[in-house]
Amino acid sequence: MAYLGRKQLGDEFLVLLQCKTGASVPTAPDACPYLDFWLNGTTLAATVRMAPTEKGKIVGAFHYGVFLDETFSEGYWQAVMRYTLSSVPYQQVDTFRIIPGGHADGPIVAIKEYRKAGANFIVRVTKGGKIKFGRNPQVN
Amino acid sequence: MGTYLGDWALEATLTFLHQALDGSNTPVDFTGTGTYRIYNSSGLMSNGTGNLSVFDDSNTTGLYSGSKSLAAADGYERGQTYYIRVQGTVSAATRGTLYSFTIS
Repeated sequence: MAYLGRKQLGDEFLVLLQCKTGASVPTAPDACPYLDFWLNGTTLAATVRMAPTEKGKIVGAFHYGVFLDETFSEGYWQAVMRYTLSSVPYQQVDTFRIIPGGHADGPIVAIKEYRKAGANFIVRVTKGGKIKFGRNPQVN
Repeated sequence: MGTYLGDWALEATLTFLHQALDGSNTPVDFTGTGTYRIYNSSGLMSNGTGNLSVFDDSNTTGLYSGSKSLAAADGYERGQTYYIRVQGTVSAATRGTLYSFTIS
């Protein structure tokens, strides 16, 4: 179990997993591990599959890039990773805390002004992949 | 010291997960009910004991959860470090694990 720290909505981070036997020998699992996100240990918010890390070079290493979008909310989260080795189930748990602040869309990563005859627009792209625009922006 | 569970808010409900393991570190269910006790530097906290509950039993093996309110009325304070000792029985042997957390 590892504590991944304090996060805010819109943050991005990696969850890493090394699959290994009880004797700590790195071992490829039967299939890509599942990753469950639990809020306060009571509400299952999402289940995803983890991707191999440097497949063919590292045995049994997996990762998942988490973007804290509207799936997540303030609170204490448990990331439960599940896999099987020769049909024997193994689990690993990481925890993190989402504190107030941030935005589920993430920060703006690109911005463009468009001047049109009828109106002017500011178009923004967020880290979460959303495209937003504002009409007739003003600087006060 | 034990595995660090992070920083928690005063009056929050601490929730932690515990993986029960056998002597070969393979996930296994406890025999009977696992328990936990929460300590600070002065000893056992008021209302600082509890039983573990089976967690997501359909998808996991030997995974348990514990939950406890971090109430000031029970002596919890900001800036302090606390320790949890989880205990359970596996193959007739008692096994114990330590965790720690802070309150901010």
